[in-house]
Amino acid sequence: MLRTRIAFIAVVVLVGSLLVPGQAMATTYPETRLPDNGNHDYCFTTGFANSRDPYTAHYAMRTLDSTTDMTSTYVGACNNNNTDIWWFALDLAGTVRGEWQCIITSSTRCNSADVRIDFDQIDIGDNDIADRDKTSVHEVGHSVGFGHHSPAAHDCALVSGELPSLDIKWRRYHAHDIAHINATF
Amino acid sequence: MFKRYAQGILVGSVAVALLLTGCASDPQAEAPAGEQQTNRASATELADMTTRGLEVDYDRLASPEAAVAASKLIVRGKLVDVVEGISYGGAAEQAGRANPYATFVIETNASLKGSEAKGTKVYAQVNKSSLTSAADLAKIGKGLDVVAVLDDISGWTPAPGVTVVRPAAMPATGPLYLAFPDGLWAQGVTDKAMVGMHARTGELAGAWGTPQTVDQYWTTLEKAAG
Repeated sequence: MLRTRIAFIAVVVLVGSLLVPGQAMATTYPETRLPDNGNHDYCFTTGFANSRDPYTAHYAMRTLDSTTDMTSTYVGACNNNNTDIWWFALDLAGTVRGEWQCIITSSTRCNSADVRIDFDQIDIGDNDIADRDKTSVHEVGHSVGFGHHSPAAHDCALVSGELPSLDIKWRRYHAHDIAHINATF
Repeated sequence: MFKRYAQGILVGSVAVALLLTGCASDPQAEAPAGEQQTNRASATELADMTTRGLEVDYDRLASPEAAVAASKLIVRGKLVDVVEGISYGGAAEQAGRANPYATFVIETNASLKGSEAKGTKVYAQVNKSSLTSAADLAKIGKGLDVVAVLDDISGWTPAPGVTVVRPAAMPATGPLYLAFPDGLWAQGVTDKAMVGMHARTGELAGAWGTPQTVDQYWTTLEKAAG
């Protein structure tokens, strides 16, 4: 009887480990530079404030704030090089939709970064607003330590290119990612 | 006896489960995995340094045919230098707080689109970290075998009032080439496979046929170019 019970538990543990979606694939962390602390403040450059969709940045920052232990603070116009994220709206060269570039480091961490969004490139294809939000969440994801691990590791906003579908998972961080953030901040 | 055997199965199962679900994070290590350096000069190291503190999200070249159609020039050759990239003038502050490019100088062995003669130097803009210098990239990148799928961005500007300034180390006239983020692959003698400066070989599935080396990547493009 005991033997059967132990064998059953073993099978359940193994099968469960394969089926729990939040834990399916490990990722290294951080894959990029970590931010300097758990509060992400952000600002808008003039071009971004006057762009077609500055709300997408608020969406991304609030997603970080509401789904993880990190917080976000909007500070208005960009004029302080210590602000964690400066948002830009640009015509990025070639097929680039968005980019995150650490500008100022503090030891091994990133003190301040640029996030640059190319709305024209993103708006090629369907579901433009959701695609902008995916790209913004994606770039903020880089700023908190994530690389392009989707879909290789799991489905989340860290997928490159066009929004795969309107499924909300493509505009969110995976539970595995959130666990990494929450363990760090 | 069997009880001990069953307990062994349970312990082993838990261990396997932990491996399957476990995280690779090391709370003591804050340096990103991609930034851990070795002393070997290689394409892997060049890519690590090129993208240190930089990530780009891009629309992929969906197939070799799409790459041929979208590009203005495709070359294969040796990376002979890395110099400063384009910079911005005019309302430069509107375009960002750092120069995000380096110029990869490629001595051409062969071309698919365009008509670059063997031995011609092609100057390609490549998205680059602001945390590493072009000189550092040159030290570890010279001599690598590269294939570059290039767009012509002459006349491009990132924002109104911003001008694009060519570096002194490249010709003042002629096309201004940009490497597609998933169109620049390099391989050195220490690399088992080709390495993308911004892309991974896993992205070259489906129509690409999963090329693993610059030889295979080049052959794939040659077939697509007809």
